[in-house]
Amino acid sequence: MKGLNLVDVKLNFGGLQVLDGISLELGSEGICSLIGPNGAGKTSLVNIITSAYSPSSGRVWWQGEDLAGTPPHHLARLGIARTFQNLEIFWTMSVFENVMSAAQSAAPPRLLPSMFKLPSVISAERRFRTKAEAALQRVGLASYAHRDASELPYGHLKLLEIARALALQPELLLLDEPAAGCNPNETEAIGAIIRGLADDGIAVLLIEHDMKLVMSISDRVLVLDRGRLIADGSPEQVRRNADVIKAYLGPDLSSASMSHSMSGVPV
Amino acid sequence: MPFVPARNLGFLFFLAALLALLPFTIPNSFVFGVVILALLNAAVAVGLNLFVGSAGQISLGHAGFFGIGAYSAAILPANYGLPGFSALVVGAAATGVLSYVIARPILRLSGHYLAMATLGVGVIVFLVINQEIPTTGGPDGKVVLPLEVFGVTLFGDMTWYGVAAVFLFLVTVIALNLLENGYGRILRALHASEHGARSVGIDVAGAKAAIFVLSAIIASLAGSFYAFYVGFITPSEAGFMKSVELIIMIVAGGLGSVGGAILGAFLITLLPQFLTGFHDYEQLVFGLLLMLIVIMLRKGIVPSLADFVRRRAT
Repeated sequence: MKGLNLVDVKLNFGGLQVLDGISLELGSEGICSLIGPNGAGKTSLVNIITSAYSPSSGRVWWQGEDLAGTPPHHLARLGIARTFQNLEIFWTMSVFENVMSAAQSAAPPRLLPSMFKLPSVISAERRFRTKAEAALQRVGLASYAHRDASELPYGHLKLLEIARALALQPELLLLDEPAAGCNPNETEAIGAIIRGLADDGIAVLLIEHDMKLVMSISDRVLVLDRGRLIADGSPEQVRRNADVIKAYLGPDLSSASMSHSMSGVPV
Repeated sequence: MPFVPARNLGFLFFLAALLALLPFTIPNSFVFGVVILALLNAAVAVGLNLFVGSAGQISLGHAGFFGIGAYSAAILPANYGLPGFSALVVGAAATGVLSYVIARPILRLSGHYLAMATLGVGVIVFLVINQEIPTTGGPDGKVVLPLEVFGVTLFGDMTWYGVAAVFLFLVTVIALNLLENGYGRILRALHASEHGARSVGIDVAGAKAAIFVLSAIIASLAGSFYAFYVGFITPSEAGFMKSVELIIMIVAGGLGSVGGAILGAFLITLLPQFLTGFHDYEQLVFGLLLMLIVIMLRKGIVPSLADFVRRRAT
């Protein structure tokens, strides 16, 4: 079984049902977007996939293996990378070092060889360096490599998170609102980068509120509402789905205003 | 270049020259004693600074590890007939095991809770040393037999200065090697964001434990050297105040800065000797100086001065 498979995943926080029986198959079909109103459970779903939370019930499979009990730091090695909705940049480090910290995860530095800087440490650093440079190039941050991360403008920080995830050379990339807070130009640039990654064969699960972005670059759209998947299909199918319209706008509004809203204004 | 921290060779040469010349300026045995203690404190501070300054954790119990090293050197040869050098190794190994065992449960904590847990570890070590009078001599202290290596007894100020200086130099090389390469990135990353660190495949708990154990073993070795040098130790070497002093050293010198830890250790060890002229007001002046340092040089002496120089240069 290839790809990511969720089987009847439920998540409760106390009495609150955050995810209510999510079943989902994700192959390598390009960009799959996950949308839904605030509080629908999107980030919780990402946290389940990345083992940050363990589901109250149900199973998560990745490449045919059950992810239950996998420590979160093993996910990178298994080929799953993520970015964060609220930036988790390493603020005290340079842009380059941020990406290096991910590039080195293929062969994590060990304490004893590092203490004595054995030749293996040096050759490993050289390999990491090539990977990190490629990742920065990919998102167009190469010229900022030696700036402190804390000096970058917000839009560039979003790109830095993507570059850091790319340096892990993932098969599945989870992007949690990569364009949130970005201006239209930045959003467009990020969209083009994500599209390029998917075209290169990385499976992308994109969580995003910017409907214009979602509808323009997605191959498949999933809609989450109150912990349930209410729609799954092409952007065009989802745009016309009555349940989706109801979830976003309430039951009284016409589908005409919905399709207008979903093709333009961020919901 | 393997084995040496290539980006800090200048600093290392400077340190080596300083350590080589320093003993010729020392006037008497008393000052030698203070300087040797400063060197050993500096080694402990450099190790602790990896855990506190770079990895962003806190320990108020490292004097306990220093004490384990010191009392291993005192107890194992005198009570069990072990050679001094083996005592040093056994002490370091015991410290390594103890710090590894406690690392997993207490390093899940952070901030104030971690401070309290490590404080607890230090207090327990101190209590054991203080109460196990038949073995440790209790509050009266214990005589330490001199260290013999390959039939040669290490004796005298100059010899021990050499041992302490070489030890500090090696610890400095190790710390710089770590910080210049991937492992330093791991420490700084988990300091900046544990979530981010996990997402890039860093074993946060494992790295914290590893650096905690390393810093504890360095403290234990320094404690053993100190005990062999002075020949008589008391429980205060493992006491809470000593742990606090170690933290003051790295905060004053500069968190995360290797040179800062060394400078801080010298400052905090030597300063009280210069302040004896103030008699009753010695502690007061000491405290005021520390307050001035943290207010005027907020990042610690070395990083603040480095910033200042950089700003003047541009």
